[in-house]
Amino acid sequence: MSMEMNSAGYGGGIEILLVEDNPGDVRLVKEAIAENKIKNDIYVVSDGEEALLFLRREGDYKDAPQPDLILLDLNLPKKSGRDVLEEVKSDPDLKRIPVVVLTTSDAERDILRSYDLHANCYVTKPVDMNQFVRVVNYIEDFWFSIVKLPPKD
Amino acid sequence: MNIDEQLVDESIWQTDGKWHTLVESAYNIIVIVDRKGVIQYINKKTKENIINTSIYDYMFPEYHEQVQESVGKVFETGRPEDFEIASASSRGQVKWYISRVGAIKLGDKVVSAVMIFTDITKRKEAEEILQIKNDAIESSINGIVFTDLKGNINYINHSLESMWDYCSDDEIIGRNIIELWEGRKRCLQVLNEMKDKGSWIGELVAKKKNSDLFDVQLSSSIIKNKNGKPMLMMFSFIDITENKQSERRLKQIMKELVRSNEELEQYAYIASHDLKEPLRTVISYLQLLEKRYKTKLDSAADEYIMYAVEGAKHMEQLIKDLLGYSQVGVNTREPQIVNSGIVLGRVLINLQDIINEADVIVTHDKMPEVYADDIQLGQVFQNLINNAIKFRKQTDPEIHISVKERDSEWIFAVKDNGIGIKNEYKDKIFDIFKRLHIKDEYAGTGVGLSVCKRIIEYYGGQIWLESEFGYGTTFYFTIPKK
Repeated sequence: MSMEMNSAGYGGGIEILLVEDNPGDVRLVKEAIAENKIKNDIYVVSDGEEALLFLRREGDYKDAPQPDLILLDLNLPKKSGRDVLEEVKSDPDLKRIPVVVLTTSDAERDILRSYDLHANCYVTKPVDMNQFVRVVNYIEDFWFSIVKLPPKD
Repeated sequence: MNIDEQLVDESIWQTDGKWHTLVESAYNIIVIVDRKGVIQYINKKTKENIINTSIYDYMFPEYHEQVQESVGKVFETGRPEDFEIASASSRGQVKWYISRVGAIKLGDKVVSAVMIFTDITKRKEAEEILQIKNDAIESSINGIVFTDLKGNINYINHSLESMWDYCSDDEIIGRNIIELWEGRKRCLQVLNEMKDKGSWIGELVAKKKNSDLFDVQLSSSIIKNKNGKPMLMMFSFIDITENKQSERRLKQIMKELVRSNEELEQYAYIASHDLKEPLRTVISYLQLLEKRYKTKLDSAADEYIMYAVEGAKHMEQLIKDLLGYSQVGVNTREPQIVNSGIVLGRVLINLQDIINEADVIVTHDKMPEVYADDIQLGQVFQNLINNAIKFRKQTDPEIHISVKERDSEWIFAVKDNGIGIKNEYKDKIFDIFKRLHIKDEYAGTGVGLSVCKRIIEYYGGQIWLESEFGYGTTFYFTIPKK
């Protein structure tokens, strides 16, 4: 799978924003991404407010790139993942960025609520580490090899 | 009969045609008797000839003395007497009469007595009905008030007196109905509505003699005469203090229930996320440790890791099951008509691998349509069948699902020929997290049967079991028809 195949057509690496407050999970996602053949740049923020600052290139994030994909946990300090999702999807500059909700919860109301807020997909973190790694790799493969992403500004 | 009497007969009653016609066409019964009561004349035709029979033969014995006395007085004084009697008609019905006895004189001598009977049976009956109605109103457990059209009280019954704590009706008659209630504005509104619509039904606050307040339900109406003219107003009160109190209590309980349900839901949510997350981290990192350091650790370390992972995974299953248990009845869908045969079929497909692996023969009756939630009914079947498979014996395990219809419910039975359950555990087995075996023998968290019980009871049914230790177990559960 080569870079040329992905529709983003962006010269640099593919950029993922991971919004995750659990350092254990951050590490696991990073490990998983490191194992995959696709090479991606991953940026990590640990709460909802930071995520929005990053996406809007405000505060410390003036030079932040616009990510190709957002991996979003739901239960976050300060602004929750739901708030982030809602703001991203109602912001004309951000709403095209695919958001993958990646969370521990398998509660029906979280799933419904996320799709109502236009999440692009909802994934429950598997308990088993090997499955966790596999799921992260599937997400990468799906969004960066199969799906046609919108061109970046 | 003497000459004088014969004279009377002939001269007045038989010879004078005019009088005769008048008397015979009279509405009343007119009888002439002698002093002893022997009938000499009657103005009506009778089936049998009653002339010369005694008048007393035609009235109930209890009146004889009174009538004899009156007749005696008439003969003595010549002045008329009145009395009231009852007699039986030729058809055996009781007839009431008032009667006036007058003297028939020849000169100064009273020679006969004329009795004029007026039938008052209808009036008597009407009076009796009226009396019954009166008694009914007086003894009604409803407090009843009659007022004029301005609301001035002219009658109250006994119940009203005691409901409002008055000692006698004198204290209240003549006062205005408004004084019985709390809130003048509301009372005037009720009276106005009553005048507009002719009646009013609703709840009011009443005020006792000592100004204590209590809740009443009032049904009131305007009573009109035959011509439709309003005559008076009737108010009928029921004391609903107790109903009101229990209604308030119920509302309070409902409120608490809703709150505790919301809390439960919140706990369940916390369990599904906040408890699971650290657990997942534990498991993942133990596994990562295993993966990355496999060659650098010895076999004992591998074993420790295995136990730690297993323990954490079991904990995760417990959380999941507890969550499932707590969610029964929360956000449940409305029950519908479901074909339990289709539900069971789906469950058997789900369990296909386990059934094949355990080599169990599963059979079932023709299943009915029931009123339930298909997913939850499926859960009950699945847990019970799973249970039966888990606790099978090694030789020829069989499971049969049967159903019986009763008037108000269906009784389902899941019967196995497995290891059975000792009598002392029959009830305990439904307790949450109750396990009868160590984990190595039979896997599971001990939530399955508790979930079954919770689901079945949620739909108003019951679940129980019969078992012979060593020979098999039958689980029964009922589903009420709608």
